[in-house]
Amino acid sequence: LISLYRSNIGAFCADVDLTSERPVVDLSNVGWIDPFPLIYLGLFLRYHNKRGKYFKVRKAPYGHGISNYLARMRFCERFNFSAEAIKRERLHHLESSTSLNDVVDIESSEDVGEEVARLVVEVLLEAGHSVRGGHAALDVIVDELVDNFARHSQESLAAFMMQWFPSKRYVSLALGDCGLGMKSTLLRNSDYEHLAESCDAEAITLSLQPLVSCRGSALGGTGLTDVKETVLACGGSLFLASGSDYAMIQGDQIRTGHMGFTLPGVQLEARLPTV
Amino acid sequence: MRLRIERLVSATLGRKRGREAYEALLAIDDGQSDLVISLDGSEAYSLSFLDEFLVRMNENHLLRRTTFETDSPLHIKKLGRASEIRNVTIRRSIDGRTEVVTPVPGPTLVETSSSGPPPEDIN
Repeated sequence: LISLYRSNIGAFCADVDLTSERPVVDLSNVGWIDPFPLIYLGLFLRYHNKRGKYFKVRKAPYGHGISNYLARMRFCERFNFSAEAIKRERLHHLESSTSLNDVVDIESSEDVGEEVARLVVEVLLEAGHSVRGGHAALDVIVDELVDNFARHSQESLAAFMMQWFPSKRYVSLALGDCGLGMKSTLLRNSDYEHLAESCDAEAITLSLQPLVSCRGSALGGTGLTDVKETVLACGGSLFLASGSDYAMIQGDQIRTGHMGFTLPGVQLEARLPTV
Repeated sequence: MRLRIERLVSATLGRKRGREAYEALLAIDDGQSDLVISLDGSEAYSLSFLDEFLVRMNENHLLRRTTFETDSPLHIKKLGRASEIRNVTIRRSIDGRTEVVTPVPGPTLVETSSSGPPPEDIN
């Protein structure tokens, strides 16, 4: 069995034969998949599916590999909720399109950042957990990330998930869309014409600077800056992929490189230490 | 005039709320009095909220009449960050006196590039 991490999900997608009439995505020998590659893989499927590709997804028999996980994909079963919390989550699921029971699609709207942030904090509090920096940090990170998608992606849906890793002592927040992407977003502003000849990594790095992404208007352009600085203040890490490249921020370093595959939009993961 | 932030807005995340807070402030401002706004009624301030609120206040000359009240180091740091990014002067009151919030620069990151696959951890 193999595991899918952010280190190999690009190569995994690159191996899918997209020239085939019905491309095969072989998950039959996958024994583990992290939140980021799960979101990335989902958006890979969605992006090409919207353009007419119908995939054949091979999975191991139920009970083997990640088949159960993929079949259920219920957040509560991975988060060890109390019975009350499960009940509450199901209520959310019925009431709202942005439940956290699952890998969920988030609908772009002006209030969606605030709504998802509230749900994430509620879920963690119900489960008796918090991250370093408390729920104020979570509020800010989730709101800014989701709001950033709603403002810039030009897609109506993003995929979001949260997972707690008790033994590794961190919470993972993964969010992705297959929309405009960072380079294309910046290229809409003539100030960044020079990026046309640059790699995606340069656009990602630039987008993390304040007042870059506001397209020349007087307001905007602090969201990703706030996410980056809040994640670092919590002792966490931030990983962003857009187009062909990625940037990872941790401690006092930012590392850039290639994903091994080109996927439009932005896919990212924030890892936050738990307390 | 003294007021608490929750009189202006119910949540302090995002640009929409920043705009709402500004509009609520305009509705009660008399155009002359000094304003003292307590920030301690909310735990989480996003930079987007503060940026929207403060830039609009600055454009309409309200910021120069405003002093923010807070003891929270997190809130003070966020105000300092907003001040540095927008190059605006923000005042806060501490122990009965007023001082200018010190602008806070962002972290300096060492950039490296890699030809290998993405890492799980940098270190």
